[in-house]
Amino acid sequence: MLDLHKIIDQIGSMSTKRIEGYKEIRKRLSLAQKLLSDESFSFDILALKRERAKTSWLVAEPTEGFKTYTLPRLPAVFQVLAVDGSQIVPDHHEIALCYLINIGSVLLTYGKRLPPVMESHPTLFYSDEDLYFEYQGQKMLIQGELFALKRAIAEANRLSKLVREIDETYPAISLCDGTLIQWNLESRGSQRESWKDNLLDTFLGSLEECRLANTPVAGYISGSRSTDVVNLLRLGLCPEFTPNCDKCHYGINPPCKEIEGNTDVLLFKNLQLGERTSVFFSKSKVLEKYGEHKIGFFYLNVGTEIVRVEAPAWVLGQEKSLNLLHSIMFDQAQKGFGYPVVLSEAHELAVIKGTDRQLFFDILTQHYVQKGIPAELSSKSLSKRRPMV
Amino acid sequence: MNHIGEVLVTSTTQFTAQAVSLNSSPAFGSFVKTKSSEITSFGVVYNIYTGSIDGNRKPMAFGKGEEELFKEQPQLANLLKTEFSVLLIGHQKEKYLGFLPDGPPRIHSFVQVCSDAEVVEITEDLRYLQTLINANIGNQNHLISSSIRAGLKASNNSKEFLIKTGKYVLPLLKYDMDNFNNIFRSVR
Repeated sequence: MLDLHKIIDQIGSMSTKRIEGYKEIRKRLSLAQKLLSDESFSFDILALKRERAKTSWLVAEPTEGFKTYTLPRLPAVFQVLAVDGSQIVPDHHEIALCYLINIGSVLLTYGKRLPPVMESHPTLFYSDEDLYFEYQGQKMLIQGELFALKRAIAEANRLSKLVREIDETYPAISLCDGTLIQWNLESRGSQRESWKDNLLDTFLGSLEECRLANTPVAGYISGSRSTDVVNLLRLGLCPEFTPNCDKCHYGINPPCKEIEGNTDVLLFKNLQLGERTSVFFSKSKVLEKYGEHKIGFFYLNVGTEIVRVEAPAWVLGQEKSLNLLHSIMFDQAQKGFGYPVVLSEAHELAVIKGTDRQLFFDILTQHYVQKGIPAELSSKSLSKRRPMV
Repeated sequence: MNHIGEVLVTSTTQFTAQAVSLNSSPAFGSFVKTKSSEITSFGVVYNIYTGSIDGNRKPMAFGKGEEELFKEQPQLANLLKTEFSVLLIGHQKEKYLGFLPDGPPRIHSFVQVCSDAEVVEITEDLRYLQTLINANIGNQNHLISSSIRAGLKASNNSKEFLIKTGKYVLPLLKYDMDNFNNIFRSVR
């Protein structure tokens, strides 16, 4: 049981520390924002420096100078598709080892009275191939980041199925909640690699389906803490023509530190309502495998916040699809009072509440009992359900 | 005939059904039926309700006209539902019987609107009026008027139907003429 009295002092210290850091970042922010409009800050030099630099941090690849774009017109009729997923994770202490992924999907048509399509698709996974992977000769249960990946793939799969069903008469976009950069597939050197490669291939296959269906796909990131563009400015501040952070000779206070600590969202907080930034590309290592689906992004002021919108190069490289994405993203956030309607409805369809989880295991138990399969809850699980006094 | 609703809550004396689409409930006071195995149960719609499909999500005011609102927020069509409640008045195995069946209609059975011929058969029996008068609901007189109106329409505005119904209702109301007039004023 958490004794809140014992933690209050620690919360006090934490908030004091945070406010000091926040003030410091605020000072650095105005400098960073000045750099955005500094004409002496040449785009060409910045781009060249970025190419030559050796940094440990992710640096955005600019496609042009720092520009902003006003909101394009919405098409008269358009469709928006979204998917979101939720799960019951495998639990050793439950009656049987299995997991469930529930994908919610929503297709809404605007400007024309067509019925919304709102569905949820739960899938139960229980085979050894789904539950385990080999790691250093041992069978390991799928958990944590690998499980998150499995879910992301299930979402992308559903999306690629649905884009084929969209009526091609109207322009459409498809949306995922969160990033399209599967950065947790980056780590190398383990036997999980082939397993990861398979997952990535499936994910990229889904993006390809969207491309073939001519439906721009995007990831919507609310509350982004990315620093790719801030990092690009930091390179600009480095007096070296070939910045090399490993061999930095500016000591503990290098020039780039002047704007460190800011996020891209803070940097672009002066965007006007509906405005977006120019397009940048991410330099995540995993994107080397993405080919023409290489992910880029822009920031957009939707009113309640500055959001990061990610999309593959084939979407961002075409003015038509880029404008479609820009206008629909903004409109969706307006209609959803700050967050895209399609995504919040997809979430509602996907979400598995505590009571649903309990019911799922109750039904599972019932089936096990009916079929005479021996099944036991672990002592730990039982003790959690019936705590003693 | 196409169904207009599906039974969600059911009991010996009444059931509640969800309308197939939003705002498409059968009329208040109209006659409906639902078939479970061999028995068809008949009833009168006494309440219609439209609200959120999810108890945790409350509808909110958007400040827009209906047409514009559904264009801008198309998902609402799937997040709202119309339900209607029905008082059971009789059932049919081979012929119509003006008293309750042995058991309630089954949950998830389909609800249909009664044909004119069925309404004529039910209203000839007259016992449904006793069920409506004795029912413990807030809008009895309106419900009785509406159901008599539905019967009158099915009988092609027959004067005999009205006289016969009036004669049956008056003693049930303990000869309370105020109440009687109140009901029949809304019938015409």
